[in-house]
Amino acid sequence: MSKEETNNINLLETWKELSEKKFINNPIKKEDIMKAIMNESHSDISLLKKRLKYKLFYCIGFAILFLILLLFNLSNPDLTILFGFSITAYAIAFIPMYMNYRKVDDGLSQDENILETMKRNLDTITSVLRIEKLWGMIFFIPAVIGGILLGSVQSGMSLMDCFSDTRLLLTMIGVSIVLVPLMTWGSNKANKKAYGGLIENLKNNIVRLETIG
Amino acid sequence: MSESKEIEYTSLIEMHQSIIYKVIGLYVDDAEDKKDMYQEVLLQGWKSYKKFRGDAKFSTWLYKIALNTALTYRKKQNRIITEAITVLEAIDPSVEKHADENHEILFKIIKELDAVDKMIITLHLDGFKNKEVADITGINANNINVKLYRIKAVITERFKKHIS
Repeated sequence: MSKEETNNINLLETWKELSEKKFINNPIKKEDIMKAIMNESHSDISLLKKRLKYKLFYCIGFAILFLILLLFNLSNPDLTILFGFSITAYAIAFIPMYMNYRKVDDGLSQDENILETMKRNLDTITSVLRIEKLWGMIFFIPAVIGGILLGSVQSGMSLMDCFSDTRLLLTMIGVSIVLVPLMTWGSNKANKKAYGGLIENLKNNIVRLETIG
Repeated sequence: MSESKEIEYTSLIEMHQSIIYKVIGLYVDDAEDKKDMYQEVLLQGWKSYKKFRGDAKFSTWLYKIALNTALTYRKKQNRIITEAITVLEAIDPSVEKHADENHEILFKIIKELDAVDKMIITLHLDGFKNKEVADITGINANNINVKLYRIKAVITERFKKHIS
């Protein structure tokens, strides 16, 4: 190519030549394709889906545990209320999480363009993180309060006694006041570290694609 | 999915492999990232293949999968490299064929563009019409010409600088 020709580069022509020389004759073997598709995805959406699945198992596991405890303590109305409350809390956490889990899909529809996929992915990530935060609150706060109440009920106090015991009430409120912001801060920090960059990147690309002109 | 679908998919990938190599080459540098993205494109393609009706060109569809994976890909420093990925070493996409100097310069310039510009110009240079670029990316078709004009001007300018 002469100096003049290179200065007025024919992009289409040069790209065509480049594609032929650089990317052709680099064969992919069928077995390697099969090996690749049999693996687990490392995409963020797939990893989030896996995380949700584990949390669903926790919910089911603890609900079953509390159900067994409830069945063994049917004669004690206070414990029945306590375990019943815990089962309800896990059921409340389970339903939106399960609905979210069903919605998470990292595949790409033929009719969906890249902008729509990015918007869907951003929506999925933010809603999963939101639901996980809710799950954390439902999971940990009743667990701590339940633990305090269970200890008191087993030592002979009734639930009514527990709720009228100022010291016990203050302990529960104090623990909740410390725990909720601490947990929110911790999960926000962890999520920002894990997904902050990706969310930022998705948002930027969405804005870029929408404002091109 | 059935075995015939697997055969169909692998054959189509073999035919259009250059799209995957091209996108990977433009979006990542590190050899491990290339292998990881390569696997991810094949996996995402396979997962989405059941939704592929065949009334669109496979190349368009694969471009969409590859670009979408590239745009949402994160380089993972603490990634656990699975055994299966090491199997792919034999077909390391980083082993690209060496083209001549001008080709390398052009490739480098396009690679240095931002993720969205890179996507638009690659599709355009690979022969996709503005309407098709719009269908793949979601960008308003009316705005593509203006954007392309600007990207081409940047590329030409940078190319001249490299040459001089």
